[in-house]
Amino acid sequence: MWSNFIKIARRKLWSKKGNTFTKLFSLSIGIVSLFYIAIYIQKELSFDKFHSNYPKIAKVNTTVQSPTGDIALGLSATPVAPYIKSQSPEVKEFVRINKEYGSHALRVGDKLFSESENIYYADPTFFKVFDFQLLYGNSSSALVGPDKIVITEQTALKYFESVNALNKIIEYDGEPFTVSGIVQNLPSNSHLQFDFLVSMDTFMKSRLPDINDNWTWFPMNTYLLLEDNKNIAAVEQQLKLVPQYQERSATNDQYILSAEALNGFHFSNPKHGDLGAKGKLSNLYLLFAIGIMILLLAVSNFINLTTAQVATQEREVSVKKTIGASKSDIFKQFFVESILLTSLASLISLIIISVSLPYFENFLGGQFDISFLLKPSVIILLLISPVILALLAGIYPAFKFANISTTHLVKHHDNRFRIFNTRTGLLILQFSITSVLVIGSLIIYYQLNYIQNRDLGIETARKIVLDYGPNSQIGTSFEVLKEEFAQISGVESVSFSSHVPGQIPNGVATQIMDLRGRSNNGEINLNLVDYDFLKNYGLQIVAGRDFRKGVADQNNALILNEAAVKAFGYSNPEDVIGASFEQWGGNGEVIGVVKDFNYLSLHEDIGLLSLKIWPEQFMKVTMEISDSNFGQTLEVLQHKWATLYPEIPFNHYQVEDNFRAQYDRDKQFAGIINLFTIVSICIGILGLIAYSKFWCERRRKEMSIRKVLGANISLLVWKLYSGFSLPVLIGFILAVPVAYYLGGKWLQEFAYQFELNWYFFVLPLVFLLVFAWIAVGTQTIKLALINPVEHLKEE
Amino acid sequence: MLLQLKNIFKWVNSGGQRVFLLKDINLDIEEGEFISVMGPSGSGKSTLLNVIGMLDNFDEGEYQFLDESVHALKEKKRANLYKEYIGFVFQSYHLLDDLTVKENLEMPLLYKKVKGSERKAMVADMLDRFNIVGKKDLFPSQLSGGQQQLVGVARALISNPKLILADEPTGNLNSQQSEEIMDLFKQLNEEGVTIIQVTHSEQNAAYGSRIINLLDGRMI
Repeated sequence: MWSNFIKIARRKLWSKKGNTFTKLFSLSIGIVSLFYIAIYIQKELSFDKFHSNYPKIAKVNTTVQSPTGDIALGLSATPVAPYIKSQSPEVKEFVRINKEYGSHALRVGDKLFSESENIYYADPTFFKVFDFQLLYGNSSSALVGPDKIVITEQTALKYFESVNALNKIIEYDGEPFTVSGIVQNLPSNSHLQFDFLVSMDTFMKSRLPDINDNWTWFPMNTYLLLEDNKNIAAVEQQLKLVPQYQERSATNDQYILSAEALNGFHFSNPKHGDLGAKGKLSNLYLLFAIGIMILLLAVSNFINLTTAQVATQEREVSVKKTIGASKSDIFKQFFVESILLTSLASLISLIIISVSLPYFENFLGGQFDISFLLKPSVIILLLISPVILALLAGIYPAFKFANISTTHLVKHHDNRFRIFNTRTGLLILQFSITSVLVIGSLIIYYQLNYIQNRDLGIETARKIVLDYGPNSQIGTSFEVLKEEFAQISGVESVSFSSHVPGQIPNGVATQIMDLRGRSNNGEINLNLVDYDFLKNYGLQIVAGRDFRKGVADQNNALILNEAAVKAFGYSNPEDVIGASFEQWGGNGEVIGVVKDFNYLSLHEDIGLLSLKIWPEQFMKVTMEISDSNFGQTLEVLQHKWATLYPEIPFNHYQVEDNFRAQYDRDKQFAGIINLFTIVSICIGILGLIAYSKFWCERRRKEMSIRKVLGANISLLVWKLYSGFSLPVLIGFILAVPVAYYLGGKWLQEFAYQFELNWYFFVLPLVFLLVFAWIAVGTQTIKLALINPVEHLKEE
Repeated sequence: MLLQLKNIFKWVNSGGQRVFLLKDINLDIEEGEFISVMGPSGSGKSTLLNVIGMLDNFDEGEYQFLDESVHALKEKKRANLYKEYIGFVFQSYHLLDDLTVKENLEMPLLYKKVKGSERKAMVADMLDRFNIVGKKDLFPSQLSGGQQQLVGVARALISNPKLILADEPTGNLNSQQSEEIMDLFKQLNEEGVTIIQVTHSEQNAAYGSRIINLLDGRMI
């Protein structure tokens, strides 16, 4: 019997190729979409879980409550960790990590590399707390003692062309380091992403003993390994009791320590100094919702297409019943057909996935660990998924068909079952989903466009940054270097600084005392610049003056931005000019106020900023290069640099690129949304074509009668189109509030948002209607051109 | 007695009025009869056939089939009853398009859960008997109307029914094909199968042993 069911199903699917193809196509891309969404979500949720101590690790955060506002740091002061370990028995171990910012020169023999953002200093306990496997070297001693460096497998290959580089020497910013361990390549779902681990003793050696007593400098990402995951609250209690933080600091800051579980860290609010890119739980929910929506689309397509051939199915079912088929026989027959289809669709999906996985990984900018797919439970789930899908998509039609009455066969009056309402309902659902996605992608598109084209208040075009890293030698002789660069033809301006726009400068405690005796404290980001920085970046002075060469501005003149002026309680920028300041051990006079500009992405409001001249801290040169001969000028520069500083790599990037890179994650997300929008439109259109077939079938008689009565063709076409547009319109109206809500939620992530306009809701509607009209075009025109004789006779 | 209808009424409500499809039908049919039901369009011929075939319900009256009270039976039992004893032949053949001739014949046996070897033998017998062995692997669309109806009759016969119900079995056929089918019915009747056919044609009606005339749902 079953073999017979399968045989019939196979032939039926083959004989209705178009229909079968549509079903297979929508199911397959539905499955593929769901698969990718699932592994993406899986990856995000699996962050850091590969550490066996995962539930027992907590991070120490510091909140700085300053008069200008609170600052959340993912960092803590150096002595905090040893102190808490000595105080609370719950803390078994701690590891501190200090990330090196800026770029650094590394050398092996005559090979020179520039590395940035991938060097961590770490305590020797690093491998005890975290589960990073050493391929070579001893995990308990690898980070003990100064000048030790542990590198990853891929770094070893890059530097030494072999993995076993144990005991070899790497020169790091001119100092020799011994490779004391090779660590296995890091999983992509780790928030700690490094290529080099340098022993903490190296960091300490020049800073001891002061650093162990400095409670107001926060260089460390501190991780505590607890006895038990229930101890976090108790540890936090202890952290609150640290005696050094019981009173406000000299700069009137209040420091509050807190503990944060590693469990959930990936999705927590980003704090200054947190390591690794953060995930957004809301984005995962959104993706999950999209996955469900696409599955719904595919399933409702399946149902619509299956039930579209009511007429032929009815006859077949009736015949089978009269020759002895029971309800369950009929049900089984249709169900087998569904399972056959869903199995086939699963197989096709598998092929699509295996072909597209590398592209998709690329698209999402990260490798997937798909080993979880080999777990028995997942394999079982994958194997039964066609049955689940068949249950979802096939049970309704199978049930409907099993209940077809036999009387239909022999009776002459029409007795079609009322599936029409369900079908229209499904169509409305499909259109709602598609509309939400279309409006959503439009909002994302406009917002990304908006933030990338908004006037930031600075000139970023044609600016090249040469990032040479900390080097006080270059800094002190910057003026000579500046001359050298300025002489190169094509270089229009040169300025040195510690940070360039697109990078967050360090926040420092600042005190300002004005002429009227008012004294204010607060944290301000400090960017160290040269005389020409403001001019070269096109920044405007609104009060006071710019830095001036010749006047002794170095180290003791400060320029604030408007936001900082306001935060310090001045409504008029002029009032702050001449006020004295104390900042980072230096003091002097506020000489000017610069107009607010966006030095970070538009996700954030303009923060408080101060600018000061301090050549020893310069790490970057910004050069504006004329449009013509851009490449050539760059080459000359590179050559010049190589002759001047052969030991420092020529590490360069464009300010514009650097700025845009801040939106990479947004663009990636937009890409995902766009992709799934296209998928859903495809499925929706296929569904519409199927629906139109069914709809026209039902209206044949009506149209024939209308024609006999003298209706003209254009009137008929209009009537058909307007009838069709109703479900589109209803679906759309249902979608608008949902899209408005979700779009608004997404926009909240930006400090600057474009304004939602009426046409964001009208344009997609027009777009969908036009698409719908094209999709149903041939069907309706065929119907309007119907020969009434054929169809009136039939009844 | 094969079946007996007593005071059968069937109606539908249309526009607030009760429209009778069958009105007080009383009918006794013995085994081995060949009955032709005649009457103009809308007189209730097909409805009567459906009621006898248990494909359709009636609103009032009693129906005995081989000493079973059909009106009192549950749907499932009723279905079993007609599966066991009744074969249907339709005007438009109603063969299953996706199945070959052989598979079409096999289908009723599959639903009755007849064993494989036995099933094959019965299908082979039937193909032989109707002289369609050569066509066993063709699909319905590859056959002429007459041949399709031949398969239709063969399919109705394969589970050895006591009664064959034929709703205008020659309605879609030309005169030569019609004659062949009617001859076949006559032959089957002589072999002991009871036949009830609905027909418009006096000529076809003449094959039968008894004619029932219907008008507006009434026997006249």
